[in-house]
Amino acid sequence: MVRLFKRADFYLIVFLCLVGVFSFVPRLFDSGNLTATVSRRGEVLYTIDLEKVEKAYTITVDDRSPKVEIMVKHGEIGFVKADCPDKICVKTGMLTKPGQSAACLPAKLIITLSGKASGHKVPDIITY
Amino acid sequence: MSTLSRRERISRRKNIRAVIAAILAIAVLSAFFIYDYRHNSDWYSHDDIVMGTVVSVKLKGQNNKAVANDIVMLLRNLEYKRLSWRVADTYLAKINAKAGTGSFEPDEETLGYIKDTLEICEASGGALDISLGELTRLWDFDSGENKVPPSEEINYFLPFVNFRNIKIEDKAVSVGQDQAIDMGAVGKGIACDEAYKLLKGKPTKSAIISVGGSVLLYNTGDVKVGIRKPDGAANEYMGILTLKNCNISTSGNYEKAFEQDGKKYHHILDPKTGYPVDNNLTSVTVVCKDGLMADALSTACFVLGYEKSLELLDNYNAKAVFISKDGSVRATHDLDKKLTLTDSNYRLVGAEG
Repeated sequence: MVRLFKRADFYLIVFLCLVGVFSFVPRLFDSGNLTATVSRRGEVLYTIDLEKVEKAYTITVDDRSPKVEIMVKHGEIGFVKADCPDKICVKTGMLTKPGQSAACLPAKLIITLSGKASGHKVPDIITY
Repeated sequence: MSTLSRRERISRRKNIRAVIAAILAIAVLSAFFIYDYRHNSDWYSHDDIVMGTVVSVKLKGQNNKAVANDIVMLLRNLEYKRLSWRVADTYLAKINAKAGTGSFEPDEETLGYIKDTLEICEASGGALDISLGELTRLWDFDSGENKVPPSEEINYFLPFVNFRNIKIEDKAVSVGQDQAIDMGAVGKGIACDEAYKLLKGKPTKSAIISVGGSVLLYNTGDVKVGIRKPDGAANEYMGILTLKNCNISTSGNYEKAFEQDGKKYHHILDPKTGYPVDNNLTSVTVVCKDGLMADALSTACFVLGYEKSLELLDNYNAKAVFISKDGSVRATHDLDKKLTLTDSNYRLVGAEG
């Protein structure tokens, strides 16, 4: 009788399946949750998983002028106070969707949101 | 087992060896793929503030952090050494300082950028005019003071606005009396071009770069580029262009805008009046193969309006999306096929309509 699979083939198939599963492991670490990054000059100061925020709180960044206050809520983040004349960052409002960003130019602070884009209608970048 | 012949034992041992070899090979390969996935499949992001605006650098490839830092350094150098008219030591400031009295020889790149921009000033019949630096200084939109300058001051400087009085002799640039060059309309596009030149020598596979909303798509697959909703908040978009490997630039009446006595003012000055452009447009987005060109054309087209822009766009092999105050959207060439409107306040109308 001709056997279709030898024992070795069986091991091989099991192993290939395991490889397949494990190659997705890196994706598992990337939760896809709505995540906010607060950075200055490319250096990340805070990374916040906004879906895990239960109680709203504020972050004060006052190591350089102007002093700014960032409000963090469940699924939302934004500048709420800034000791500068134009307050462009505060006028940007709260950020709620991946790809959105707000910046305080004088304090060199940028908040960006990342996460799994829901559907095909979320842009990768915005021209303005 | 003991009944197995010697031959069978050898063949079984060979089999096991083959399986081990295969397992090892697969393990090495999969390790490589996982490594490759982690390093090349994820976008590395670096957000920064340069040239008075937000710069977003997204890279795929190797040495992403170093490359992103190099790009930001390069743009800072562009601002502080070459293009800013606010920084006293830039090549541009030195040219302007000799207005009406002499000339200055900038570096080759700056000279090239001035020449390229002047060509589009000419092609647009002066709709783009980089000699209006004195008017930009009067309005000073970047200061945040938000005041309309006295009309007599605007009227004083207006007659001196004429890019044809910017002279280039050999490598020296001179401007006329009471004239100043303002590269603000093209600075972000030039920044994208500089980034492109740098990326070509780096192990970066793909890049998406935005310098204050002027975008470079470098060696990308299809990228969804949102067009800012002109009467919406900073993060809102009215439609998505699906594009790859090109430059995109937008001029809109919402940037650096303010209201005084019930009238809205924005930062795109009409070189013929000295006041912000007042027509039926709210924004123009230009798509082409060059950053400086995309930036220059978006400003020129905003000043010219839809009909008068068509020939200019053709001349530069560029395409554009025009948004009017009434929410109608016109796309030139085949750009309508790449545009999906996502906001019901806007509607695509035929090229003729």
